[in-house]
Amino acid sequence: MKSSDEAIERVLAGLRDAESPEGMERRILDALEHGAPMRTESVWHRLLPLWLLAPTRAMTRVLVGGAALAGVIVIVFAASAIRHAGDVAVRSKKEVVSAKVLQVVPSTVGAPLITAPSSDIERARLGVRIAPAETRTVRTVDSVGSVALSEVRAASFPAPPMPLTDQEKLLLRIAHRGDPVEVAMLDSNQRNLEEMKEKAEYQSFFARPVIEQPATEQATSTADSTNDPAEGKQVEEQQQIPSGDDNKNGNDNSKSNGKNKGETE
Amino acid sequence: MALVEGCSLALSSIESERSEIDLAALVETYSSLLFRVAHSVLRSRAEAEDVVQDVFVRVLEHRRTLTEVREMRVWLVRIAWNLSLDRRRRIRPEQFDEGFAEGLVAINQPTDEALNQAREMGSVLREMERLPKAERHVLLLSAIEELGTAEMAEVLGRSESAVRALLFRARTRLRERLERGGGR
Repeated sequence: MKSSDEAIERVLAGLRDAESPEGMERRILDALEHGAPMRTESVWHRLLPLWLLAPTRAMTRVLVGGAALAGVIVIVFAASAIRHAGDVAVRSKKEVVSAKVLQVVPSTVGAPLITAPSSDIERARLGVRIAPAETRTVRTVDSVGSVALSEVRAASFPAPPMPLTDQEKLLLRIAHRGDPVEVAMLDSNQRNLEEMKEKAEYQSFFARPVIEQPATEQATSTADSTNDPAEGKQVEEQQQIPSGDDNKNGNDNSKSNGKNKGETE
Repeated sequence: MALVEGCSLALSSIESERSEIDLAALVETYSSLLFRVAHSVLRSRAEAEDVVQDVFVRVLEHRRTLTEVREMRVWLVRIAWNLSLDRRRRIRPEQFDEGFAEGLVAINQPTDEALNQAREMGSVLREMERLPKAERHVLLLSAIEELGTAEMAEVLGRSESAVRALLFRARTRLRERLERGGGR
């Protein structure tokens, strides 16, 4: 009991009576005078044990390099993610705007292409995704509306026509036979001219004498054979002109006229 | 004394004019106290001197706010105490205990008796290290008789009654352990 107390007291007295080394104050003041403390230690030196400090300096550069590389990678990924998010936002904005334009189209274009459903149930049934009313009213900015209208009014590009089937080709051939002739026949003047021409050809073909006549009568017959009324009139006028030398001829002509009348009748 | 005054003049030229604290006077007044505080924790004279120097480096860094310090003595002891505990994590104070215990033995004693006493001092230091941290801290600070209970309480951040209770328990526990292990 006594020995232990004495031992404790001797140890505590030894701690209490510890004397500072000689010249400690001077060394401390010198160190402070030079401005830089001799043992200024960084935070790492204070936190880490000594045996960890030696390799830390060698590894610091590696760690810093790795951290810089990781930072660059993070920045690259963040930039791509931000860009992707921006595209998604623009796309969704376009969708919302086009949904809004559905109500504008009938008044601007004329024919109502699509009418926006009035109730949410109908929208859900049709699968149309339209923003809530508040957001729609907010987003009806002029610029956005003009963009949406331009998109709606943009020229569409329909699919090329399919080739005709055999039946369709046959129907077309039947329905459109002799098209130019039929169209021309719709004009009455043209049609009359064509009929007269056909009739004249018919007359000229079937009115020719098949049996040969005498030479004296050939002239009259040839003159009569022409059914041209203008030529006939000229002939009659020549016959009506009186001439003393031609009395005989006039008689002959009257006879021949009588014959011609009989023939024509 | 003249040396200290010369250094005081030199330092005053280095320091800013706003600093009204005379650093040389602080070193002269408190360096031995701070050395004992650090030595009680580290049991190494060289390490304790480094701690004292670090304390005054901190003072120099905070020279603009020194006027706000109410109790310079407690403030400096607290800095020395915390720096010593930080340094203690990096060194093993047990390696210095043997030399310190041999230094406690009287020189004019026979060798075998001196060896026994040195072994006994060593066991006391080992049992002190095995004490609970709060009790050990109070016991080490109580060894420095210049510090009262109120100052110890302020340095450790505890109440005075707690410091007194911790000190009593530390002494009792240390005595019991030493008596129990007296046969070793």
